[in-house]
Amino acid sequence: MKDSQILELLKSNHYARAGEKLYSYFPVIKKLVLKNSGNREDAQDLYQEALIILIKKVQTTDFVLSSSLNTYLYSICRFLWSERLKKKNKRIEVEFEKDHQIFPEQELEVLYKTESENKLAEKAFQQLGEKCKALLLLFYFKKQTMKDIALQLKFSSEKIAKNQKYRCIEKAKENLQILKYSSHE
Amino acid sequence: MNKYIELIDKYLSNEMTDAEKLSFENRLETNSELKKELDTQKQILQGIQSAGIRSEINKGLKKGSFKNKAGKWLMGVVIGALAVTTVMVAKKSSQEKVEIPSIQTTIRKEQRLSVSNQEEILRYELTEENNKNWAEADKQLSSQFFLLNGKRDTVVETKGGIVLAIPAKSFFKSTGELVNDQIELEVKEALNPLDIMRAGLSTTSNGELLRTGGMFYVNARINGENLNIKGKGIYANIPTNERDKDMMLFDGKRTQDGQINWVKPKRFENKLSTVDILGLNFYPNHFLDSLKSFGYAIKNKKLTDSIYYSFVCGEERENGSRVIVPKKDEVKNSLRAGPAVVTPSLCIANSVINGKTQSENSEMPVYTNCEIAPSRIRAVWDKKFNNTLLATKEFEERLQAIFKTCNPEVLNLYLHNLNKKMYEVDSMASGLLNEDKSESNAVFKKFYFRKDGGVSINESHMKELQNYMEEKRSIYEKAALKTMEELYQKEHILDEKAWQERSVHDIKEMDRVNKLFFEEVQTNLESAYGQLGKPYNRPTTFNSVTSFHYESLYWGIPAPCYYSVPIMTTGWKNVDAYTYEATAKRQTLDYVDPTSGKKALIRYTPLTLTIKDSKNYDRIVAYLIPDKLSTFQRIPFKENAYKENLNELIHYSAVVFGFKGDDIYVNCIKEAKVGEQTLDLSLMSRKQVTDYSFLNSGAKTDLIGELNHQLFEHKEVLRKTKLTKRDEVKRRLMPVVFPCAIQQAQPTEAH
Repeated sequence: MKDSQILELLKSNHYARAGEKLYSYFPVIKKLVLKNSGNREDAQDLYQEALIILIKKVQTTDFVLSSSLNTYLYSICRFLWSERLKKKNKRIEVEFEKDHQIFPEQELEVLYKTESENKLAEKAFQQLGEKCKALLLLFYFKKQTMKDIALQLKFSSEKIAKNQKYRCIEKAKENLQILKYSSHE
Repeated sequence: MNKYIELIDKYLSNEMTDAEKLSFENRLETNSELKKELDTQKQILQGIQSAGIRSEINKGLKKGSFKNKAGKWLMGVVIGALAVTTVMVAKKSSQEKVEIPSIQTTIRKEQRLSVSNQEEILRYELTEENNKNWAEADKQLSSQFFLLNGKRDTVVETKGGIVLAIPAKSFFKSTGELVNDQIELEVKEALNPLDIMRAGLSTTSNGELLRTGGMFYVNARINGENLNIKGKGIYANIPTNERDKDMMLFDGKRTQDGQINWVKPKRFENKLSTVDILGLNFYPNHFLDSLKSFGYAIKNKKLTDSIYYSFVCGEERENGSRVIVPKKDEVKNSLRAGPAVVTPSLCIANSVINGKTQSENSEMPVYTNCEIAPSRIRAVWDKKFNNTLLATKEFEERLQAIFKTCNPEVLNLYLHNLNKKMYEVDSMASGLLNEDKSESNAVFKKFYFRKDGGVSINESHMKELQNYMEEKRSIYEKAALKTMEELYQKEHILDEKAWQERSVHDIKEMDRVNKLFFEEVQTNLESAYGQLGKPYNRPTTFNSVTSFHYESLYWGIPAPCYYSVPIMTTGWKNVDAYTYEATAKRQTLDYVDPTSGKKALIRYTPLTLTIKDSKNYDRIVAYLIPDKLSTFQRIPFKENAYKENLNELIHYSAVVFGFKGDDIYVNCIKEAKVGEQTLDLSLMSRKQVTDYSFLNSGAKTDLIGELNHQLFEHKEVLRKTKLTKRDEVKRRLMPVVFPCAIQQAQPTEAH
């Protein structure tokens, strides 16, 4: 499948199908991580992060793929992995192929910062109760209407569901504050 | 609720009118708090997006990887195979232990394997059943591969925490050939509900819904060929938060439509958990209860141990090597060699020990009919045996039953099979007892049916423990025997000394008593002769009584002791005889001379000394010190008081010694008057006693000797009391420690 087709799938929110295709890029990433004191789990984790970044990028209107998707993903992964290793006071031993370097350093910095914040926010979300998570995912990610959601999650009215949604957001924000605070420690 | 949330949400969701939006953005300019809230909320929405994308993309990645690998690994022909797909239906703690297929497990060496980093979803074409009925679970769960050396025992821990103990030589090819090479072990696991759901694993058994505690898949291959498990089986520990007794292990049977049907439920073996062995009670039934009733502090394990381990079984004693302990009669005879002597001390001693009779000679109790030797218990009741089958509540319970069987072989079964499961040993015990003891047999059968499991132990550790056990048992047995023998030997030496001391004292006492009598008779005769107007020649010498035959001098006087005196003069026999008799009986002499009609009167009047709080003393002795005579005389104890008749011709002082522990209490009456008197004793040091003024009389040397002897006697009594108490405790504990010996002994006693 061509890169453009995958991008189309991503733009149209067909993540699962895109992911299926994107798996073919994974072995390269796995090799990278395994060679640099990581295991398979780390590789999977890293690849997911990179895909999330890609997807979010794609969804911004001005996204233009300047290289192959493979190179693009590899570049993000390489950068993220070296950042993680830095955190653990380890250095990447295996040199990266230079031509994979497609981002300017500055962009990567922003990318990494956004990514870190995002991860924390995702964690804050994951700490919520099951019902909250379902409610927020259906509304903000699946873009379902409040009415449908109320029916699905068995809220007695749309209004109650809506109030519940606000409460869930409030809780998530609280979680995030705590996480931010403790990550600064 | 935070007032901004709804507002910000509307703004971010683009639900505001243009006017609202403008107003909101204006507020942002000035309200830094609102700005901060907005940023946080934006991040949250980003987080939700990430979470959503992640879960979606994951589905795709998994699917992709499956397709990818399935295509890639279509290869190899697999002949004959078996693997075990299992589901553990458990709820939640400790470790559930599952055994596949079952029987015994020994893990010789723990060897960590290099866990391969390669994780694949499906590597092989055929399932362990050699068909292609792969279930959804196979496709959704990634495999963990381990490489085993078929010749070695191996322990493997999966990512999910399942621990597999795989004995050497567990895997065979379908041809029956043992596999000694590198074996590839594949494990898939879904232990938490989330994994189980994600993997789409069904939890039905023949259509019935199961409550699952987790599932796992195990398969072993060599060069792609499925292998069979044989021999002892491999042993799996599955982590769970809480044991649920109803949980069983089901085998997964693949169906045509790619489902798994769970069949052949099997109960889990009840794996035993170990506790601190020193916290368990390995004493025989009722041992502690009994000790408690005897007034011992049973919480003091050192004390209770010392009592229990003092029961020497004599297993280590070889014939003839027994320490020679003289028998009581032998001691007596050896000391009493020569002409039989009447011992005045007998009559004295009996009257003074304050109600306590002298105990038997110390004899060491040795139980030749060994049941469960305490030394055996001591050898294993040791921290070394923590984390073994013995350090379990279950063994504690069995031990009680073992004591009842009185059969050391039953105990040995448990001690020598630390690597077996409790129920296996129960079964062996039940078999051993099958022939004679139906009751015990039933008890062990009952244990067996509980199916209590074992405690993992590796063989070298077990061997080490067994050696330790045997060695220690022998050492403890010998030590206990030695200690006991030394103890009893010591007592025997003391016994012997006491007999010697007593016999020396007895002979001296005999002389002294006779001297006293002689002197008093002389005094009385002098007075009687004087009253009758006759001359009396006092003999100048007193011959030691020991040179006389007492029987020939026996006058039939019903006195407790027999005094004797040589008759030195002829004539006036009647007066002499009366005087002798009166003196011996200490009764008033009222004699009328038949020829002259003259009277001779010597009065004896009773003195009664009662000692205040006499029960407080271990031993009390009372003496009279006559002024005219050269030695003291002892006041006999009769009817709760010290009573003696006083001779009117003599002035007496009286002294009373009370012994209590190491203390001496004294009272002294300078002028002992006839009649009744109650005395209070007061504490005095040994030096004060010997320096005391009452000893100014001629009786001094004799009295000090007597005092020393009484002190000795007193200590002897204390020693014997202690000994008696100890023997009594042991005697009473005997049926507790060796229940069968007593049962067997009783009928013979009855005959």
